[in-house]
Amino acid sequence: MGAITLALPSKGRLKEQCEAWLTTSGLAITQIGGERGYSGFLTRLADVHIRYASASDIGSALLAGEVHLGVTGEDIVREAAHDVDARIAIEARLGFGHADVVVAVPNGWLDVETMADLAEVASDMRRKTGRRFRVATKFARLTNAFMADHHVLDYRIVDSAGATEGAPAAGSAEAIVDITTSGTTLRANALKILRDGVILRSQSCLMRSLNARWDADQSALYERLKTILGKTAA
Amino acid sequence: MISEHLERQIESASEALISRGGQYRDLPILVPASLVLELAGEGLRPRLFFATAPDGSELCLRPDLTIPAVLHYVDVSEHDNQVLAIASKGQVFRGPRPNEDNPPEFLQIGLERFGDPNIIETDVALFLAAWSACQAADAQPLKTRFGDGGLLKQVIAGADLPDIWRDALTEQTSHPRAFLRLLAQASGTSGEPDISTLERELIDLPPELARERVQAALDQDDLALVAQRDLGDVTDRLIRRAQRALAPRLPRSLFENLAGLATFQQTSTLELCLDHVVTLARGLGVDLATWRDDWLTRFESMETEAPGILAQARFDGLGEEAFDYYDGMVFDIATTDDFSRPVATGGRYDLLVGEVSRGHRNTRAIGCVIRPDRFTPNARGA
Repeated sequence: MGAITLALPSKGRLKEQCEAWLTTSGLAITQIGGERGYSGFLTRLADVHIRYASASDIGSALLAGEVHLGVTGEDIVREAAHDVDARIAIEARLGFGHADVVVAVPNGWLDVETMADLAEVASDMRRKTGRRFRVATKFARLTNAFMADHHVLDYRIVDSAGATEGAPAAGSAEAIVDITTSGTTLRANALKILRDGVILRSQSCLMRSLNARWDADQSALYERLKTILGKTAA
Repeated sequence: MISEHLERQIESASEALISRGGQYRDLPILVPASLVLELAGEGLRPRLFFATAPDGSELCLRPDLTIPAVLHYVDVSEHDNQVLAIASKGQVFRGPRPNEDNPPEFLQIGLERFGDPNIIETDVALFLAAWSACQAADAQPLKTRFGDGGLLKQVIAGADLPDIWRDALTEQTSHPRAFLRLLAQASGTSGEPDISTLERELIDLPPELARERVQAALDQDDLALVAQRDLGDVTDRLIRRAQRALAPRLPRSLFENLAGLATFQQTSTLELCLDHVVTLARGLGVDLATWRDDWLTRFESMETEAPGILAQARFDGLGEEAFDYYDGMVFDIATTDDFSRPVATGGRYDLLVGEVSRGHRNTRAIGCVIRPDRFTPNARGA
């Protein structure tokens, strides 16, 4: 029978949550090389190989068809490619790893509550300064699509790999697009989420790569896995 | 690999364009990415090809010939309005949009004219250059669509509108969808806008007291003002929002005339199209007689030089590409009725040199590009 590869987060809380989710369905992982190993298999279904990787690498591997299945955040895959739905099928939303991708501005901007306000402020700024409004984010693709949907045109993206919430106070951007779970970090940095500024309500999902090679045996194996996952993956 | 026939077409088009004036220049292929994004907006980012310079600065492959030509002009011109015409030919790089099957690089032949003092004469000369290049390449049948990127701003400046709406609408003339959304708000067709208690208070206060009131509101909730917007910016906009919310809605007739101008598209004769625009503007209290005469002068000059050239031409008001980039005459020349793949496009961009040079150099400018890959209808092309 052909084997399939399931990519899982390699560390931290997401790894624990994935293992707990599998355990709920009676599936345990045998990790090769112990806790520090980056591969393994499902004890009950040895042909389901486990590959541990970072959340972003799992997204890339799913899109490229390098793994059959993977657990990662919807925000990660939607940012990585424009044609996600043609390359990946979301099989189940797993109820953990919640993270909203949001647009946030300084909380002292009392005149900015909505994306329409943001569009107007951006146009004002370009007219007055000749420069575009700057949005710090690592989610350039999601941001571009959302801004276009809300007719926000006079903006520039400032690439931000980390500490994005600090960009407005540091003077390197006027607004940010970032993930938040509770909003605590945004509030700590004197930022507020716009009323209609939620771009994506993301969570960890079981995803199936449509680009991976699926022969009859592999498809049958996945059907067995789905049956075992039962309600969890429904 | 291009065919011999296309090679001959490219050569003919290039010769025809250059014969209309212009010094041939090889323009840079790599341009600063931040400049391109600043001018064209983030909407272009997914289609750009980026590169990093050894010093770490971000570059991109040129997405058109206009920006490199403007950079060249800024570099070599010695004073504002210095007359220069630049002809160029080369690959430009623009990734296909999602679901498009277009090549990411294609050939353009361009002509950019800077500093010519007579706007109408230069408009005519540039259009004729583009037309003759297409004709020399035997692209046919040629159809033209004209527009005016400065029309909406001109009409709003003179329109019989309350100042609060005139200012707001003027700021959005470059963005059609945002303009129409604001127009819907102005006419009350998008529902009643929200207005906060604070905004209601501010509207009757003198400016200094208004700012103090906003500062007190910030202090009360321990809110921070950062990122290039100060107390004055926020206060002014709160007042503007309140004024707009409380201002009388625009009468239906004004709304319809403005919306009609913003979305104007007709296929009748050029003169009738101009007449229709004049009528719409008259409904807003604006006399466009001089504007109409200027356009008729352009058309007459074009017909004088090339009889029959406008037999298959139409006038689309603002023009498809008129927003944001162009601020005067715009045109597309196509071999199909829908103008979705024009073989030539062009237009006036009098503010671009100032934007690129950050005000260091200012000049009138107009340019056009020819797309040889579209000479043959249905050929694969972006």
